[in-house]
Amino acid sequence: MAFESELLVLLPRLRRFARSLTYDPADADDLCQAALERALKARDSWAEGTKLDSWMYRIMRNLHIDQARARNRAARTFMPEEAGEHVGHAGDRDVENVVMLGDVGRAMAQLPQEQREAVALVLVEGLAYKDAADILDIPMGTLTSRLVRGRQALMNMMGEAA
Amino acid sequence: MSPDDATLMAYADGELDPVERAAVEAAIAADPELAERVAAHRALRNQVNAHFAPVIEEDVPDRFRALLTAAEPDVDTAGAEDARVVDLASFRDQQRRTEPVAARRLPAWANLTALAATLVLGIAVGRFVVGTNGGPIQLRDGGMQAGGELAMALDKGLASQPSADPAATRIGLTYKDRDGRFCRSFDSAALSGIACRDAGAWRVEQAVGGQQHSNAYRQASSGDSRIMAGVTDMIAGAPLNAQQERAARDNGWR
Repeated sequence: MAFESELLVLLPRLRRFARSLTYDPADADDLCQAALERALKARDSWAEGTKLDSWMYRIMRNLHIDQARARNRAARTFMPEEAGEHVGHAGDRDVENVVMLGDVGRAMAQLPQEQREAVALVLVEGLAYKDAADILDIPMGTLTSRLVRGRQALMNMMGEAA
Repeated sequence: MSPDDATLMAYADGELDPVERAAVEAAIAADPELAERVAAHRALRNQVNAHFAPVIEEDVPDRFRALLTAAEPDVDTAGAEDARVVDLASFRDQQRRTEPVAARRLPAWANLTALAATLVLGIAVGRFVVGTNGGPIQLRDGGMQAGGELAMALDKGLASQPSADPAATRIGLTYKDRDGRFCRSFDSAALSGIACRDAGAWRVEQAVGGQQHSNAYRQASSGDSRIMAGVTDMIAGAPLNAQQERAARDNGWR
């Protein structure tokens, strides 16, 4: 049916979004799977003709918040130091590039959740501000200010080379 | 007046309307420092985007495909799906049989992906159990999580010290699965199943409607052949003995 096929098409983007939220590839795929399971259960609440990608981003983002809360309650260490380097096939790249790419992951990990999800939707997923604001259920002005703060923080962390 | 950073960022992202854009371009033309800030925003955008771009090219794990195709009703395996659902639904009749567990072979469905099995079992549970707050199974994080009295039994219960209350949830086997998680089989009047310790909660991996006749679930091992098949399918090594079970409990299932 259309629903499953469309989800299949979306899968690579959903995995990328998960990766930008969670850093650890295994955690990202667990998040992705949980989002798919929830989507399949909640498929009746998806209005056909509306954007399935936005709907899925919202599901995944909400799940991630729930999980982050659970993690905080468990007082677990949020991110192992090297986790940010595991995006993509690092082995294929030269060392200098890997270190630089790793810096993005680490820097993203340092952002507060609300800035990170704004950065993930706009810079990683390439969404328009309005679509990102809708997904996050916040006004455009709030989205813009989170995005600007997130970017400034990333630039500061990664240095002027960014 | 010089545009603020949010405006420069929105300009870099192509988010401004034509009037705003013209104003920013005029300001940039008069101030090279503003142009540099726009360039920095664009460079950051490119860098962050490039960092995650390789994920798109990665192979999608099979388990995701399995999840989506298992849910699809009109694929080639539709017949097999139906057979399994019927199989589960007829389980209540089968459970009254008392053939020894050891003599059983794994049924064919146990070889299917865990995801497909979970999905079908999820349907079965949905039929038998109220999945809202306060019930023994709650839908959280896209999965089934033990709640209420079931969660308490899984947290504290010991197979070696069953509760005197015949209505209480009884713990069967405790073991580690191949992912190193502690898992416990349980049964009660309402529900039988397997739950595994995952991220500080009990994730219900399998569940079927419980055994209403009290004799069966007082027997030494779980009378539910499907649950036992699930255990056999998941277990790594031997089940915990009473001493190990107690130690694991006292250590908070970590």
